[in-house]
Amino acid sequence: MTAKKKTPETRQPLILALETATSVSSVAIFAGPELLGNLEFFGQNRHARLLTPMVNTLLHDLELQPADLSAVAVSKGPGSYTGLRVGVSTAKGLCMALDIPLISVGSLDALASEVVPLATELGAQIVPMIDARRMEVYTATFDAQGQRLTEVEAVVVEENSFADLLESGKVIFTGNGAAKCREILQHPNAIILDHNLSTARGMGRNAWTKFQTSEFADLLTFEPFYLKEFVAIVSKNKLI
Amino acid sequence: MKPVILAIESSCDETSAAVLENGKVLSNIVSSQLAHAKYGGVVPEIASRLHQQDIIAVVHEALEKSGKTRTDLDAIAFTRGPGLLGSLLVGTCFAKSYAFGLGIPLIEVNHMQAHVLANFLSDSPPAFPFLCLTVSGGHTQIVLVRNYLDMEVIGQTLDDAAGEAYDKAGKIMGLPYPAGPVIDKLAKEGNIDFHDFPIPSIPGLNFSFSGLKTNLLYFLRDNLALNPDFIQQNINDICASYQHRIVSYLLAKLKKAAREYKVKDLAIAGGVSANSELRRQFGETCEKLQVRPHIPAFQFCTDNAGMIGIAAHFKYLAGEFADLEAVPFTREG
Ligand SMILES: Nc1ncnc2c1ncn2[C@@H]1O[C@H](COP(=O)(O)OP(=O)(O)OP(=O)(O)O)[C@@H](O)[C@H]1O
Ligand SMILES: [Mg+2]
Repeated sequence: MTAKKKTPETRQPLILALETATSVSSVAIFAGPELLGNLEFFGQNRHARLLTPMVNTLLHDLELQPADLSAVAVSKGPGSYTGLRVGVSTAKGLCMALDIPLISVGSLDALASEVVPLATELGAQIVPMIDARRMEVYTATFDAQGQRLTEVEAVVVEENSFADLLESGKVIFTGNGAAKCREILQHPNAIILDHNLSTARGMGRNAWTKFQTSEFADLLTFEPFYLKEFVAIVSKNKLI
Repeated sequence: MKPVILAIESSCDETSAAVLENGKVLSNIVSSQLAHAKYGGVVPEIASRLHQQDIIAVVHEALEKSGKTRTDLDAIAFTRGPGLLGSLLVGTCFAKSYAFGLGIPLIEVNHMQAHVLANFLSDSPPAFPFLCLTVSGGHTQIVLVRNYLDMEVIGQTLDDAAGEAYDKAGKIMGLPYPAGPVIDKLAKEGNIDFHDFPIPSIPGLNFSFSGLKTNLLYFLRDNLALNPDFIQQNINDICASYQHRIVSYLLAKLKKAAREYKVKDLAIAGGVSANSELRRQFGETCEKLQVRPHIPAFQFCTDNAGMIGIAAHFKYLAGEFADLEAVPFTREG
């Protein structure tokens, strides 16, 4: 874990962002739109252990107190159920303790937002992908400015999954799910940035926009975006 | 020191929060998840999602009812285990960040110890050392309690828990989940001698309950072959004789333990200690043994944060705090 240290010169509101939709545990603090510092842990299943300590460390490194925060932004998913469970529970505890608003940011929106400068330069569409199970990814299509154009879906990646999109122009595939598609995305228009992982840094732009427009999540009822309704099977087996 | 503690319980299918001041419960809010009933048991993913939906409202209400505000709190307590991982994660992560945000200490609580310590939420708590029969959905234990935080399991089930014996019997008979309270009620009108369920022969202070439900299954199967309405026609008697076996078996072992350990106080705890027949016969047993009986109030038998709070109270006084890296554990050992 390393933190980029910067003293806040500005009096911009401080927003803490938490991203746990994938195996990366990640926290960042923004002053308005500007990143002050961030911490990442790239390891499996460490969210529950590390997330709150990482917030503690980052605040400490930036010489800030919890009470200095103006809002908490949390990744709402889609992504790992366990990861999101940890992120959202942690965010709720902080918001309730500090009496500050909760901001929800989509995990795909955050991924897309990080490549907006490149996409704008290339005039490319953005397809962020988060690894689901097997050949499945959570994905949606965004324009070069990071505006989402399609519904968020779980897609089973196949030979021709993105053929039409690729015919229409350059497409940036980003996120840990893009690695699954390397093989099949052998198209000159495909730019694959599968080393771009989901981190809290990518949440800043969306979080700041929502903060400015007071687009807050309802702390009382907020839940992660699971994408899939959970259906358990009602056992019809008669025991006798 | 009169600590004000907010406690959170989320180990299984109840989301609960309580506020205690100096070991006295000011509020104890329990939100029970009804969604599992139709599946005949707790579905872990559904349980996790419902904890996430309910936690803020439950904590908010517990604070409001207690007359305290978050700035009055001295510590945050949470159930670290045993229980379901996804369920525990919600309570654990919330508790950690809430305590961190408020800048106050964090206390982790063992759910099974808390069941035992529910006996201290009474005006005449047990004196040490005492024995506690903890009977719940996942556990059946005889615990030697030397002090608030010094306990030893001296006997336990080798297979099903007592609560499972109730719930599985309910499933066999087509009763709603959880079947414990339903069987309790139906048994009131029944004959305990209707069927002679076998007494499991397990040495020492350990238990076995799995044979009981198998016996019930075969007994019902044989009789249903002769009379398809056998269950409906005899439901009270079936429940009464089944429950009688569970309760007399539990108490026989407790009695044996009480004689071995020569304690002056006996207690019961856990969801099954809400059972009316167990409560009644436990009283009788204690009278015969000439020991003092202790039974938690109903609201502190099944899962609740009040019991987490009292356990945390004793940990607070002992200076036992958790750090922010605390993670849930799903089972003991
Ligand atoms: N009146 C009653 N009679 C018999 N059993 C009951 C009664 N009320 C509740 N129970 C049983 O108690 C169990 C639930 O107890 P509790 O909430 O303490 O268990 P749990 O938390 O699921 O398990 P554990 O504490 O072992 O993790 C269920 O099996 C239920 O059927
Ligand atoms: Mg319990």
